[in-house]
Amino acid sequence: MTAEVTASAGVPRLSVQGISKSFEAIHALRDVSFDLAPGEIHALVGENGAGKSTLVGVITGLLQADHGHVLLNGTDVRFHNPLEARTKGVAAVFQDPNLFPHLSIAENIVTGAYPRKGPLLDLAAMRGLARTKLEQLGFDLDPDRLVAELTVAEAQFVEIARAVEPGLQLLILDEPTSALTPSEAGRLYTMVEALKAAGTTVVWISHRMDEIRRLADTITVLRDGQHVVTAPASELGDDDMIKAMVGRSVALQRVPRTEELGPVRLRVRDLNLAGTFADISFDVAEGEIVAIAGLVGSGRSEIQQAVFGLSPEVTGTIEVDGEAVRPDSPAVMARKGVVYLPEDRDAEGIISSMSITANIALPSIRSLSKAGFMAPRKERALAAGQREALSIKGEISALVSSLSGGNRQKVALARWLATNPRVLLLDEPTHGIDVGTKVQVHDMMRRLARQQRMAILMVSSDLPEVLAVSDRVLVIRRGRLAATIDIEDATQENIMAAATAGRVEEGTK
Amino acid sequence: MSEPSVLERLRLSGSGGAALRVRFIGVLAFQVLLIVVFTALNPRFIGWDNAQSILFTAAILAMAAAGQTLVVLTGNLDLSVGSIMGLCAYVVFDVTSQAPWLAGLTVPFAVALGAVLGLANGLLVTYLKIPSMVATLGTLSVYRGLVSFYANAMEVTSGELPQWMRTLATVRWLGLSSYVWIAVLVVVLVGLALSLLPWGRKLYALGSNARAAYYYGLNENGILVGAYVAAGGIAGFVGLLLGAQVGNINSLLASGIEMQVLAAVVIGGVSIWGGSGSVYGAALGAIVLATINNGLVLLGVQEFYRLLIQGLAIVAAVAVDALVQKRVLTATRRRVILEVAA
Repeated sequence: MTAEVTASAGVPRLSVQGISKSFEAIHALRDVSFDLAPGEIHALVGENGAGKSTLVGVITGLLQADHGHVLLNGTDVRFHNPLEARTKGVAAVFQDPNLFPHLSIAENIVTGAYPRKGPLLDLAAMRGLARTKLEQLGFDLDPDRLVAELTVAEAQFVEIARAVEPGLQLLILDEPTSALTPSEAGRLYTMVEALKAAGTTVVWISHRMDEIRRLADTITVLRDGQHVVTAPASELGDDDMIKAMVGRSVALQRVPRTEELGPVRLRVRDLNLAGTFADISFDVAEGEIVAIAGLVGSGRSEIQQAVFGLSPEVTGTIEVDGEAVRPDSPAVMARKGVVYLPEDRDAEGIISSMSITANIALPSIRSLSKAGFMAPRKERALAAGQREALSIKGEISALVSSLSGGNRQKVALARWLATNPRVLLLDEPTHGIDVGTKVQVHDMMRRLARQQRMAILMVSSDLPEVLAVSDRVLVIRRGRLAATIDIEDATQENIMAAATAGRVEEGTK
Repeated sequence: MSEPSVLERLRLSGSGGAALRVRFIGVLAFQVLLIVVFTALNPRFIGWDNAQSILFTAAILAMAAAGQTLVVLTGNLDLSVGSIMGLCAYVVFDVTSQAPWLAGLTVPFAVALGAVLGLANGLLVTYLKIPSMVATLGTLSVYRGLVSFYANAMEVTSGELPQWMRTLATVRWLGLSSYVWIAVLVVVLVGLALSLLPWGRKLYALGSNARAAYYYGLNENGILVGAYVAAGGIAGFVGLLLGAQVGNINSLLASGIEMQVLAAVVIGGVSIWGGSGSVYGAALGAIVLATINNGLVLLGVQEFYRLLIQGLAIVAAVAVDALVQKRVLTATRRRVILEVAA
């Protein structure tokens, strides 16, 4: 390894001081402070939405903090973009690949800092540089191959090779092993340890207890955008770590179910999607709310999307009310009474440049039209009814873009409810919604299941929400059904433990 | 946990690379097919004289396509190419006819004027964030309007051109029209710029993944404006050559040529989504179009068949690119992987 870094005694490599960052009304980070020592491997852990990615964005200049400072080797730095951070020796490999698929490995590695011969590119030097970097890191890749023909793991090696430069101060790896096989991950561990030996500080963001235990010198836990604890790995046990991650303060009440469950409405057997999930089987009964928990990237949203017909190549069987159906497209599933509310409601759930009425009427256009023409009076009656039922704030002629997040979510829901669905698929139904509206959405979900006898399958990262509204919890870990927990036995700790394969002692509440 | 099987690995890896590599060969195969079919239908098709004629027709198109390639590689379009050609040719001819002492500067003058028009395109697309299709559709009209206004329904006749330009189109070097050699020069120069200048590589990078380009610290606006300026300069130069070939020009020179130019570029394998393809492919695309034209004329086929075949070739080419693009993009998707069963 060529990275030789000098460290002055006592000064932290990176010091995060009082960092806050909000996106509109959401506090992604609140007054976060902690230090990273020179030449250590520092694990950064926390639930989905705890603020890890935002923090990485702030450190690397992708995002600008609202308050607070970042000190690199004792000097105040405020990077305006990732390139500026790189020139100061701070590099990050993000979860989403940032590569040029049409170009060769060598070009991907040197882009932005091309070796030149006069005004021209030095192609030989470019290849040589790329080859040297890959070899130093122990990656056996031909620099002339196109990134488009690499596996996800190989593409990730290319990104890491690009990030590692002589004099690297800080390398941030965001869930680097989530796409790697055990032996590939092993090579990454060796590489990271070599970097550490050369004096580079490595921030390792991960949910996998085994690798945190193996690599980390220090562990920092974030929760709800706040710093919980920074401690030497030897002093923070698995139980304490999981408790620190999940101890959310929000109080959401469970409302015990008095209604009996009906027959199975949604039956899923042996659902498989190459490279994403495998052997997924479960039932959702009439009147039941089933939650799918798991980490982002575990495949949980993809399972729901496959049930809604968004992945036609999926194999396995799906039955709705006992009737087998091939999930070839959303249109097929919608005809069977299966509807889906995506997580990114602004991009996928609603059409914000149209009115509330137009949005609600959209999936019901056929039943609302007369001889092929729209019937505006019927449309308005439908919208007014749904507005009343869901207590949506705003006139039905108002544009959806003028509504708050919670009300937009209600419109998205209303438009499907107008079609009288049998199975409701919800992906993060209250993501980015204030607590008051959240409780309303939960009440609505209970009513839809218990009174209107729908079967609801919900994906949620919000563990208090999972515990408050669901009757059963399916935990997905790396594309497989890791556990099915009845709501009576479920705790934030045992759900998180199943999602991360950590061990939690029986009876921990 | 165990390692995934070879088959599983294959499914997990992007398969777009191979498709990108064979794209050029596909165009070449199509050209060979055209030659075979046309020869079978009319033996007069094959022969040196007809080949010269095809290459002469392709020359202007190939040069204009070289400029367009720079823009399309970034994932944008320049629909104003025909208007830039017409405006530059008319203005430069008119000025030189009135000020003969400027005759030696016709080429730099046309290139500079084209570059200025390209700069305007680039600024509209980058700083005003107007989608390139709309921005250059607007300047297509604006530039044509300007030249009509300037020309005031007059013509510039070839008699007013400098002597060397009047004869350039008919000169032959080594058995081929001078235009063919000039086109080869332009295409090779642009090709070398794309492969050897850092700017050329950045064009590909920007077109391949704009988000990654930001992370890599590339100056997106600068690169894109550069592409439009270079494309405009080339269009100015090509306009001049086209004017010299036609002789008497009016304000309508090269109107409608943008469709031919774009057709050459996409048939030649430059992805309309950006990031892949080459200027040599675009030149080959120009030859394909010229071959179709020439072959159908020899067969005595009517014009609308030519349009029909050209249109089908465009759609087929882009359909292939769409499949390739889908596969290529697997490399930029979020990483989700399944834990392999024990």
